[in-house]
Amino acid sequence: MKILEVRNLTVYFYTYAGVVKAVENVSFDLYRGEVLAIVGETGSGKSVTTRAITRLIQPPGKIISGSAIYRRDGEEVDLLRLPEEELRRIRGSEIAYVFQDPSSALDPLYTVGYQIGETMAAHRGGKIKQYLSEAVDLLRMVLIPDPESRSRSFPHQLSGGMKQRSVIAMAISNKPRVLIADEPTTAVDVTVQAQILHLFKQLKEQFGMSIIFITHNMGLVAEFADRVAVMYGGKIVEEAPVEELFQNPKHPYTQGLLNAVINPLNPQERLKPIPGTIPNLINPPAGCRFHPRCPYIITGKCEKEEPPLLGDRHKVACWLYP
Amino acid sequence: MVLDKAADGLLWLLVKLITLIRRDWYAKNKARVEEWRLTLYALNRSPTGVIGLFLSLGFVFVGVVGPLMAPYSYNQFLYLERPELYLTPPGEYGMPLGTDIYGRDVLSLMLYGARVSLVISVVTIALGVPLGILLGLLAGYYGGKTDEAIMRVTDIFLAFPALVLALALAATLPQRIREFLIDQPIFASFMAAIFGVSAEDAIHLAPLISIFTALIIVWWPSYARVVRGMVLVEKEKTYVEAAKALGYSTWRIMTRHILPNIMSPIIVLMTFDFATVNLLAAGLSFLGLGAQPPIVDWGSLINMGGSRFPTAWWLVFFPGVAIFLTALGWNLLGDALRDVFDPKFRRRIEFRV
Amino acid sequence: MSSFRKFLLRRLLTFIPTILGVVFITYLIAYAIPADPVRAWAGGEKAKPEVIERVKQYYYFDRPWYEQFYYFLVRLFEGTLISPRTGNNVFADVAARFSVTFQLALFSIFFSVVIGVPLGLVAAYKRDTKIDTAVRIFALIGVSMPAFLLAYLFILLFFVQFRAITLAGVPTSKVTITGVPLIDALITGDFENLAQIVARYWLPGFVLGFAGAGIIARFVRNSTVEALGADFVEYLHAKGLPVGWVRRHVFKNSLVPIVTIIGLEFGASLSGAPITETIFGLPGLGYYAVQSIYYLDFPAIIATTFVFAIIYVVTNFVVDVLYAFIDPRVRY
Repeated sequence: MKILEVRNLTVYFYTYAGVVKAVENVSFDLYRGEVLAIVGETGSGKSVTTRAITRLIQPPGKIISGSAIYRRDGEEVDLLRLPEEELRRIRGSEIAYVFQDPSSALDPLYTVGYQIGETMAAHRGGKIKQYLSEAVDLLRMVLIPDPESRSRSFPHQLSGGMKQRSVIAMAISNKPRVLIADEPTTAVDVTVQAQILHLFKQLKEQFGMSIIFITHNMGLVAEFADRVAVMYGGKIVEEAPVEELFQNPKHPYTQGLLNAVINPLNPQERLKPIPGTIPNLINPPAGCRFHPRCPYIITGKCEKEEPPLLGDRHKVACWLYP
Repeated sequence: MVLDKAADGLLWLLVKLITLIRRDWYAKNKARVEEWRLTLYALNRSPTGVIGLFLSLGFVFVGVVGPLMAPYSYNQFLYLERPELYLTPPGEYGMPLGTDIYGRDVLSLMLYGARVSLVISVVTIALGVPLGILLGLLAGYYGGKTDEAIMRVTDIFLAFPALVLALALAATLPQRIREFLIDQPIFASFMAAIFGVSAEDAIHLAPLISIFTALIIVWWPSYARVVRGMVLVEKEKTYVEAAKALGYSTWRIMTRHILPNIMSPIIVLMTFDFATVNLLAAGLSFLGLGAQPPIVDWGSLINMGGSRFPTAWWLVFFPGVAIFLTALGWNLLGDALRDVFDPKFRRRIEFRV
Repeated sequence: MSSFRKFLLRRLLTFIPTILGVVFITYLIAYAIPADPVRAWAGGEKAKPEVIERVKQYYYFDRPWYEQFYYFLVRLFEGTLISPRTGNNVFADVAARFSVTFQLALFSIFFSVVIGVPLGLVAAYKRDTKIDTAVRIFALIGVSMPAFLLAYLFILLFFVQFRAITLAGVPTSKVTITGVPLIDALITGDFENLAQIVARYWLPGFVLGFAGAGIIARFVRNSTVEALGADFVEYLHAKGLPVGWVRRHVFKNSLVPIVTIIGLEFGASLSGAPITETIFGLPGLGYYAVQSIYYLDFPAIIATTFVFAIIYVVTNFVVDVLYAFIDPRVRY
């Protein structure tokens, strides 16, 4: 059952250097209770896409076109066209975010417990004080030791891992239906990474949340995701269930990605980096945006025409598969 | 644009001058000259900055050539020969800005006053700032006991409000300085030449000399503190570690590596301080502690006018406006420079250029 | 002990060396710099021989320097320094004048805040527009304007033209509670006196506060802009907080530099008013300091410098405490 349907999302940034076409015509679906991983390098447009879903884009960014249809209790709303006040009510309660850097999500002047309680009070009404004990329970749920005293702590008194877990507590405090996590484990050490991932899995089971999980770490994708969408240069180039993707990557970029990291399912002798660099999104390459770096380029076609995203369960945008 | 051409011309001149001394300087420093060029272009893009630049340069120019251009000398007490010139308003008897109680032409006095202001601000900044920077470098780099000691002393000096400390020193120093000037006539004549007065009047410079001595003592603490803060941050950066690993001497690291990296905020601060020093020095003169007759500066003119207010309004108005415009010029320039050195702002400008 | 209280204690302890240092420097200025300190302390050039003798004995000038310093400290802290000019105990003189300066400072900070804060907020929320530039230029003009020019311009207008203000004397309290007429009048509800006080102090307060307004406007603008651009603001929106709640976060975060600058401005106006007081004929501390320096009344110079230093230290202390109260990260 689809819970989120994004169609033709386009986001541009109007900077002094020119117009950055960060996200171009991106479409994907999110199903109930699944984990969708969005994979790509820095600058591929993954963060912008997920923020655009709830119109969290600030100037100089602008959502040019597209729709984000969200299904809740039988009705459908287009998040990109909803009045500001209704959208605000969905954010933080039905669709929640966890960002990469927990320090940048917490206000240094307020205690952690207060900020968690604030999220609840903003959506359920009442005073923040009422929710402080529930905040402690949430902290316990995310496995923070000694939650009572921690909830009275300030962000700078917590370690990175604990901060991130507090942010997660904040995000799940209103039992959201969709959790969007933007590289939530990149800023913490590996051991904490594992704990946080484990936490996500538990929460998913417990609450039946759908999770959009952004990462550039293929290992995490293999571990955690149900389906994967690969983004490059502001577009989705491949979308498939996770095992499919790893066993049968179709797009040359995906293949390149998998070759560049250690893959136990497909052991190799040498890691092969992808030659070249990511495209300049002010002047993206014509035709397929990957063509300058593609080893299988079909001259005459790939530089001129953009391949559409085609397929059923396993979608790919490449002229190798017309 | 015209201003850009002027900037180019200036840089070309500068490069030519430096290459006269060191042949290979330009080849080695091309990138740095480019950086300067972009800085000047960025400055040109700020209208208030350009106005500030012109006002400040105007002040410097008038300060340097003022006494030479003045129609009457500051010690020409015209009143003695022509009694009608006692406190004439502007415009009468061919005195464009009026005269003072000694019949001296206010226009000329303003020009002399410009020199005094210029000298005081230049000397204060030229001596006070390096002292402060040096102490700040030492405190920040060595840390520990040195830091504690220097910062305690700095705190103590900062505890004195600038005006009060300057007042106290300006009151107690002149006597000593007068003795010194009598003992050292060469020094006295030198001072007289700088201030644009004749050598016999050198003794009367004592209060002015004590003002800038006082100001120097007042000024260095804030630079010491600011520089120390910046050095503390820079010290942790990897280029310092690299320099240490290469075995460079502490002095070299401090001056050739850390110092250039913190210069931009210091330059901004110095520019603002030219304005502040001027205002402070004028304030001291206004209170009667600066220029003593026959020497004048802008503050003492206002003092003269203040006690006869509002009859002799021109004695207050013209010097007051002069002080205001000078301070405004430096402040506008400093504000623009601060923007120019700010990397985020710079990027915006650079794309337009 | 909470981290906050520990912080307070630590701050108090650093007071002491600073004050001692100030006293020492004042001592140097009074003793070591003048060519003939005894004569200076006795009243300068015009000192009569008997007075010089008395001064010599009173301040132990014929003893070695360390004894001198000791007795100097004793006199200072006992409060028995006598001014050769007025014949009074200097601290009594200072106390009488402090209330004038204090009221002036209150009026000055009132104008600075009332003009500066709203302008700064407007400039921040409308940044990079013409309004922002206008506020910036206003701030720069405020800082460049010499107090004497502005004061005389206004005096020309209000005194000469309209006779709307006085330039002599100050209103006093009918009933002395705090010793500060303004506060006394407010407490007792004496509106007539209050009106007089306002009439006397508003113009000098405005002149003194004008520069401060510019500084505060710029600080408010910059710290609000910085707080608006803080990382966590995006997350506040992502949490779905109402706009008013977000503004509350932004405001609190911008508060620290603002509080600091207001505190420092207040401290500065307590010590930096000599020129304004002189022009407007207010018998405050600044004017007293200038007079005593002009007449080389050393005991008075010492006392006023000492008081100014205390003011500075106390102001900084209060500001630091407020800072730590708002921002928990500072308490270490």
